[in-house]
Amino acid sequence: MNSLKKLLTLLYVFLFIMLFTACWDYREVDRLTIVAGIAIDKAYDDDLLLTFEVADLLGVKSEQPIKSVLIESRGETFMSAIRNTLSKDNPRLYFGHTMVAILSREIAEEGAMKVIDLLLRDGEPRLNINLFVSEEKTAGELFKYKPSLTELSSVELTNILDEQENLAKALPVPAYKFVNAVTAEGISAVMPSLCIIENAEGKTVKVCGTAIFKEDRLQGFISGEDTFALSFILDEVKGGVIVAKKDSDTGEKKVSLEIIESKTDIKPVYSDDKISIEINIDVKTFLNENMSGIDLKGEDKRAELKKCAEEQMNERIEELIKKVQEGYGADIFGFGNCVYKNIPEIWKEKKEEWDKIFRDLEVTVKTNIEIKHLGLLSEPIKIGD
Amino acid sequence: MNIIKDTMNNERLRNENINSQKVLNKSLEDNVNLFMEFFQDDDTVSVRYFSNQEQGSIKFCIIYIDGMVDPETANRNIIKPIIQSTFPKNFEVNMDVVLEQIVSANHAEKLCNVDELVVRILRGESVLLMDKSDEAITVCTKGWKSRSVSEPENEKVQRGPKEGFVEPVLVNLSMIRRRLPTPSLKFKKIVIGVQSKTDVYVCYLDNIVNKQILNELLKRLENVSYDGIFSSGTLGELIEDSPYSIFDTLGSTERPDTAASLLLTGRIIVLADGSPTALTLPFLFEEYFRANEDYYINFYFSSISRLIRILSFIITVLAPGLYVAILTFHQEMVPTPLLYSLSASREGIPFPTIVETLGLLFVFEILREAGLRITLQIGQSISILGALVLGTAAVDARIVSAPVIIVVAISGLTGMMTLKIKGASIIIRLMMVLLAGFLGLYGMVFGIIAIVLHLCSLRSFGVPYLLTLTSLKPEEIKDTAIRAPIWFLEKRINFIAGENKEYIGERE
Repeated sequence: MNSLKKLLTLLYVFLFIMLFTACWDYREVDRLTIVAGIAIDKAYDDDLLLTFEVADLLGVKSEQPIKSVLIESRGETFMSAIRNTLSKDNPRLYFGHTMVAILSREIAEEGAMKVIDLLLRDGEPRLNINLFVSEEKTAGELFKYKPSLTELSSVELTNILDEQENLAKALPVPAYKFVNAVTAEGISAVMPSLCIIENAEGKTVKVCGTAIFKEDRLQGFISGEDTFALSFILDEVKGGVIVAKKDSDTGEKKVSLEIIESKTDIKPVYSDDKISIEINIDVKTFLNENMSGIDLKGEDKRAELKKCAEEQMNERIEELIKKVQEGYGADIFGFGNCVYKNIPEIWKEKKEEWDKIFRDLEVTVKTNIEIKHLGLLSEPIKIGD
Repeated sequence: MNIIKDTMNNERLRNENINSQKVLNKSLEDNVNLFMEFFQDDDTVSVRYFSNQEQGSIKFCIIYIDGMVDPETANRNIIKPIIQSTFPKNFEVNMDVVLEQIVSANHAEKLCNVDELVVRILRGESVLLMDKSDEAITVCTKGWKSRSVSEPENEKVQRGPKEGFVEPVLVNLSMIRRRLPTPSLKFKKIVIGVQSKTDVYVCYLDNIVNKQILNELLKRLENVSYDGIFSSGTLGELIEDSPYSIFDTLGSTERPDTAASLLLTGRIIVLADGSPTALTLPFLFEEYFRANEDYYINFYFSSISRLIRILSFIITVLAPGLYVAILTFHQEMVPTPLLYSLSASREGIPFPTIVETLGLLFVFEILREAGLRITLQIGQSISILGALVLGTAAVDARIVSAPVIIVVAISGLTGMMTLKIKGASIIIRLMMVLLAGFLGLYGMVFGIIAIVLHLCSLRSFGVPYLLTLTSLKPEEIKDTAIRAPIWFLEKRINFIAGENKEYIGERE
């Protein structure tokens, strides 16, 4: 009797362990349609029009590359659009490996949170889906242009963002970062923007700049060069090239400085009931290319170059800040957030009128570019007769 | 049931003589007939009558079994002395004189119990009977062919002694004795097996062994009642702590050097006649991953080998389960490009992943078992047939996907590294695949917890099975996953060794 009781207890325990648990479902991997990217558009009648880029794995042999297939679906909401694909001949869509989501300009202007909500609420999509805004008419058309190296546009776009640590001309914005920026105090969100450009072999998609949001509504776009300056302010630079130009009698002379390391320090200054911002940027670089022919071996020549590069950098950054202050009024640099963190009592007072303050906020930029070494050549190559 | 106890013990022997009904009488003919009654219908028994060349009146008779005795020994030590020697002038019928002055064998004994004599004959001794005497002399003339000493197939070493145990137990004992010529090395004999009457020797070092473990072992051995012990494995199953467990709580070795080094740690070795495998006890889980060669080569290399062995055990047990769990429950864990290729390779496969995996594991076990039981030459063609023909054809025909074959092959290959734990790993692997198929990684975690709990509950002769894996004492963990240099191993494990806990403390 006792042993029977023991056995029953054990059986109960196992039953509970097996059955009363969180979600567990058995899915065969070949029954999944793995969605690589989503493009979100607005249909003419206010419905959502989704374009899914999925990997076509049918009949793929190991030597062949994976092909992409586009599935279009409409619905009143995001979810209903996803489920509506089931009525076509597609098996269930799987979002566990979705890498990118592209919003159309129209959707972004109306408010991005509406559509991003599902990406965060549902269990399957990852929080680090990279968000983009399409600068073209629709978002779905971007998937139609095949990338030059990979088969899936979504993979290509992710690769482009990954490579930004050597370029710093686009800011990767995963979904969680966007939401953080939208909900945080004193900072406006951004997203990289996509456009179609002419390449050597037909048209292709490119990350061409940054979309500026206020709250969750799209305000406008800035270019890739401006994004480079923006990256410095946001301290997101991990690499890239600074081109220093030097005017001389014989015309413009250019030098490339490759960034090794960059550190930005933003400090709010409060005096006489007036807030101003100080930006200190410390960049360590080395000379990567010398198109100028100037012999930089001497200390004074290098100091001259350094000063020149710093001035140009300051100019670019100040120009961008001015453009954003006047054009969009969205604090994408997080100056307000900086005030909030450093002098919260002032932030409490000024919070309400920050939009106004931001528009004529005084910002001083100080850049310090250090040239660590001159590469493998210490002297410019002298052209013999 | 009747267990024949230590026959060398004279006191017990005399008691049995008194109890026995069948005793020799004074007539040679009657005595021979008495034996022939026992050996009815057994034509291998030889009986030879002879007498001394001078005193032909006294008849002698020798009884033995053909093939069990060495004829040369019998001739030289029994028949020749009796026929050729000059008997004492006043020779009367007295077995003591024959035993002491005529028979020249080194091992001879006077007995009169027929049952006992019959057992001796069956064990290869020759029994000498004399007319008008109710006593007999049994002479050790054992001599049969046995395998020569060679390197054990299952425990090969690159560097180190190449000697392995053989079937005759006395040869094995001599191999251990040669390595440890100390009077504290004891061999205790117990005869086990109602029919087989197998000599079982318990070997230990008197000054190191834990007496509690020794007494427990002797008690268990004396309580064994079984018809025939032909391999120490049978004996092991009968005296194990947890016979229902999938893990062995007794170790085994075929190498005398391993046995000797285990004796030095305070462990006990049990050798059974006719079996080249010695049992070692107490046995700890971590010993599955040891090889004697670990102590003969550089400690860096032996530590690496041990880590690889442990890792390969984990892989062999978990790999198929992990594959099933991740592919059917946790697709988000797979890197995206890998998921694409896995998904593409499963395209068009008719079976669910779990069926596919179980099926291939089954096929692998068939191949292994088939290769094990047949000769070496065909064994190779089996593996070619299995691996190449079955494997590639099955993938080409889209019956199984290529990743499953890779996973099962890795699991099988790593399983070969730890052959001693093979039985347990097959069962755990199967359990893990089933759990993974039902519950994914969640189920596997439960399976692993269950196994660890079970391992924690095991004991080998009172010593916790995971002693060296759960301990924090330096002397217990110096020689586990990593083998510390020899000079660091200065203490014996407390639980296992009874006395003399320091290895080199006695030396000064």
